[in-house]
Amino acid sequence: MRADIAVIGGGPAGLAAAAAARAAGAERVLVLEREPLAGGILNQCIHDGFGLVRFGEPLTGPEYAGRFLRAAEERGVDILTRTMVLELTAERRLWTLGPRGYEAAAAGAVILAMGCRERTRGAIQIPGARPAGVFTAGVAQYYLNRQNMMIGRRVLIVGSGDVGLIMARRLTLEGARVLAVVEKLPYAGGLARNVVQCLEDYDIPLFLRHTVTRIEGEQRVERVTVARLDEAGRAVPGAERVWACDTVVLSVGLIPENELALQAGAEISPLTGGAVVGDDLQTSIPGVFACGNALHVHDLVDYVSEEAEEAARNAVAFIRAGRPAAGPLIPVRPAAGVRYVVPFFLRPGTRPLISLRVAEPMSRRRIEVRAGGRVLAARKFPRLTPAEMVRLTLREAAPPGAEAVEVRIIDG
Amino acid sequence: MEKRFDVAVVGGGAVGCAIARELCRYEQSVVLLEKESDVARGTSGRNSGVVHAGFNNPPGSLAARLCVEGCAGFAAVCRELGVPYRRTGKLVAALEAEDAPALERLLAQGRQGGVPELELWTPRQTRAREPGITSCGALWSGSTGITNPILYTVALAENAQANGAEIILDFAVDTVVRAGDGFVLRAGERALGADFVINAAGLYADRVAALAGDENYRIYPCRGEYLVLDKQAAALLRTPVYPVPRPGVGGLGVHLTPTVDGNILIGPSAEYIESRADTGTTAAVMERLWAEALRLLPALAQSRVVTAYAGLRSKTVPAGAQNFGDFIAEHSRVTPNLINLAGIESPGLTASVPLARLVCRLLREKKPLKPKADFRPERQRGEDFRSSPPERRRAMAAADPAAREIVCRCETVTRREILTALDNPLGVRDLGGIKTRSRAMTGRCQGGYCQQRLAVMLRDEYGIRPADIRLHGRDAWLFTGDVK
Amino acid sequence: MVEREMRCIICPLGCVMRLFFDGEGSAPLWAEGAECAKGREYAERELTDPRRTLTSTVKVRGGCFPLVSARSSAPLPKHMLLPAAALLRGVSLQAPVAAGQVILPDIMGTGTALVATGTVERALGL
Repeated sequence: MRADIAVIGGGPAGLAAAAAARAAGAERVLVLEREPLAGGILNQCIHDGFGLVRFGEPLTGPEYAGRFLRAAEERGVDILTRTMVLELTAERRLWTLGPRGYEAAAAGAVILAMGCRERTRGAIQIPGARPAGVFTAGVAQYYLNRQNMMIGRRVLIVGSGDVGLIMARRLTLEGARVLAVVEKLPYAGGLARNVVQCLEDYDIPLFLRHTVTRIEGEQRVERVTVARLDEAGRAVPGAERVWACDTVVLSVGLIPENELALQAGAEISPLTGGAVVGDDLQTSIPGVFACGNALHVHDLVDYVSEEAEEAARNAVAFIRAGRPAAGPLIPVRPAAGVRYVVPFFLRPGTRPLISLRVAEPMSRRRIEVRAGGRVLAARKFPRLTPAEMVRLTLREAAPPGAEAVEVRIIDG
Repeated sequence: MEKRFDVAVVGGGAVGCAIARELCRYEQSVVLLEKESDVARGTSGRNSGVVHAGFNNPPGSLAARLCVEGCAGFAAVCRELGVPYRRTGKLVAALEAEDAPALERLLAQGRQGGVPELELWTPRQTRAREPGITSCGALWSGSTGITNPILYTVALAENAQANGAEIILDFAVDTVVRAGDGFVLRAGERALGADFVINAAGLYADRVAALAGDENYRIYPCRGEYLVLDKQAAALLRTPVYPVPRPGVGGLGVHLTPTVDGNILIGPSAEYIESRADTGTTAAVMERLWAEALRLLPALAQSRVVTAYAGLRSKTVPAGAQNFGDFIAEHSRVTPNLINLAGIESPGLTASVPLARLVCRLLREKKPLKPKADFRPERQRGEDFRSSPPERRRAMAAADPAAREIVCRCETVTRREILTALDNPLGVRDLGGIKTRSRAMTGRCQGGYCQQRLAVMLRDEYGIRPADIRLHGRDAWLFTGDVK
Repeated sequence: MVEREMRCIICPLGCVMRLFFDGEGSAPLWAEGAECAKGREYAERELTDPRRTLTSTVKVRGGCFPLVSARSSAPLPKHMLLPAAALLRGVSLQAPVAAGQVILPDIMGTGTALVATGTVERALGL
């Protein structure tokens, strides 16, 4: 098998990238999708609110995915479903397993669009027993929305990520009693609109600065102990409450899916969990690009699609040139209060879109991108929260000879 | 009239399953009774998976003797059963100079007990073997190895079954009635008869003995918690590394153990508790395990925990007791035709086959045991996709549509391997049983990707209603039913 | 005059608005803090007639998936979401179902339809 561009993953990022690669002139564009149906996680995100930026209307997940699937098909993209990429090499060879068997493919460029996965109970180390009835929010969502399987009756939600908030509402609408959402930070992990329409609408309490200290139940979850945390994040003695419940849903964070990137030897950022990329979204391996949640976890799919299209255009430019664009690389450095910035470096003369997240909620701040004494971009924000990704396009390129590009937050 | 057997083994741990298999070498009917929905759900499935050399136990003790014998034969048994085993060797590291004399004592104890391949290593030799470990020297044990204790136990049970033993799961013996020279064992409504009872009930050995009229035992559960590290840490360690054992601690100390699947285990702690079922983990111990692990191998600081678990040791001596509790395997002093095993904690896994042989010798004192001509010790095992080279993978996929789909992504488990696990000879259909037999759900995402696929397979292909799907155990339900 | 804070849910910006109005059930006389006109519209609606789009699923027989996703074609009064969701648990369709297909023409007399948002093909072999 040979492809000009092999896109790994047929979710919103992969489909958008594939269609854009065809539009930019790539001949054979292949999407490798492990599920029987392309569309990725959107197929189970039956709620609406997708596409407001891109289409100006609130679509449900399947509707949004459907538009991109049609676009990819109309553009002549080859979508191989039920096909999993098991290995990727730095020479852009892929080993795949699917209906055609176990085979190798060679690609002119590879676009990593595998999305993300959920952090588990093990990752956050909740003490106690290990009974049935502890689900991550995305798994719960798949069971309820795709497979018609109901996961419990009395539910406690741990973590206030968007999927957890969405599932609080879904479970309530399907007759379960959602007792509470507990969040260890002093602010919600998900978007404010989801706190309003998924929790407040249904009188589901949100306990900030609280955490689960113990799960009990020999076979199925029976009880969960929740403790209040002090300013330093330690459990306050005596400030505990035991909830009788049969189900715990975890929404404690998403991590870019990076197995293949790691295997191929791409540099991975400890800040994002995704590959380290330059302004062209190319990883440390020439010809391997990354986008969407596989690169860094987004809160809006609209921006996933946009980033994927950018990665695709750069991948097409790469196969045309046959090698990565040369030039010195200027590192992009997040200053205090900035959790991460993508891209991680840029070439002089480029004016890429910069995506970033702040480390904690703040109001009335200005974000500045500076290099060599010049302000490349700046914008004021009435509010900034870690739940919302911030995007800035550089007004001007970094001056030649700049040692670093700094992204910082200043008052006002 | 209930079904009658010559011998009933109570307890489906490594020891009970090894006994059932060993008994199948002779002309007699054997039944194994397990209270859980699968074998190895107790202590046998919740330990370090280390095949010990035998230097930790007092020379001359039953534990020491059977451990040395078990270690010597373990590789051969694993080959017969198709169970992963790796002879890794082991290091007991002296982290401080004052620990050094303890190494000499261990060496002397081991040599006296006939343990082969023991050497004192300098800090340099130790570092050459394990570059991440900073020590003041170590005891090297060349014969120590690792296995997958759950697969080992499952394989023993399956091989016993293939040789004629009946394995009955979900059979929690609640009544034992003397009937002539034999017994009637009941579990709720179910009952069966046996001429001899072998009590291999582990944590419940005292209770099972008492049901049969023998109140001479008492078990003290002692919990050990573990952390399991992501495979990315595997490169940091190839040998099990233990600290020098400290007196008064109810175990070997928190150690680091690579697993045959490529993870690293940290643990176990040692804490006497009241409950025989509380395998919960605690925040305080998890924190301490980390600290102790970092003392042994500072480079672990960057690695990630994928899960945690705890197991219970079945001790015959209470907390604070200075005397060593040796393995007990003996005829009951009060109940005829009852053989009790008690206090089989570490190194019980290593000693399981020798213990089984010992039980056969004890039984022979009471009745003749005639070897069975057609006993087959080998167990067939399916090919595994993950460890197969590309050419083999290609052939597997070409020949079998079920080998063209990966169900568990983290461990690269194909649909074929899941189907094989689902069609296991013991008839275990819960997700825990599939997990231990196929490795699905044991990886980094802990079932985030594959648990849902397995549940749907059980419903759509095996016709199990969602409300009847179990994670493990009778009441470990996953679903209330359909949403609509 | 009553004053209340309200979080706009129209878009992910989630503007916090300050509303000034006469009393419960009356429209705001004044709203500030919204970044766009849609926010003020939302605030007025939210105080007098709060509505939400219902998104849920409907059972499908003979399909390659047991459910199809669905939505109300327009927002429903907020108090009707739970009863409407309960009603859907009793509805079922025969595969195939195509995105856009009307499942119920009128949800509980609201005049709002329930529309499939996904596609479920017929299961192979049926």
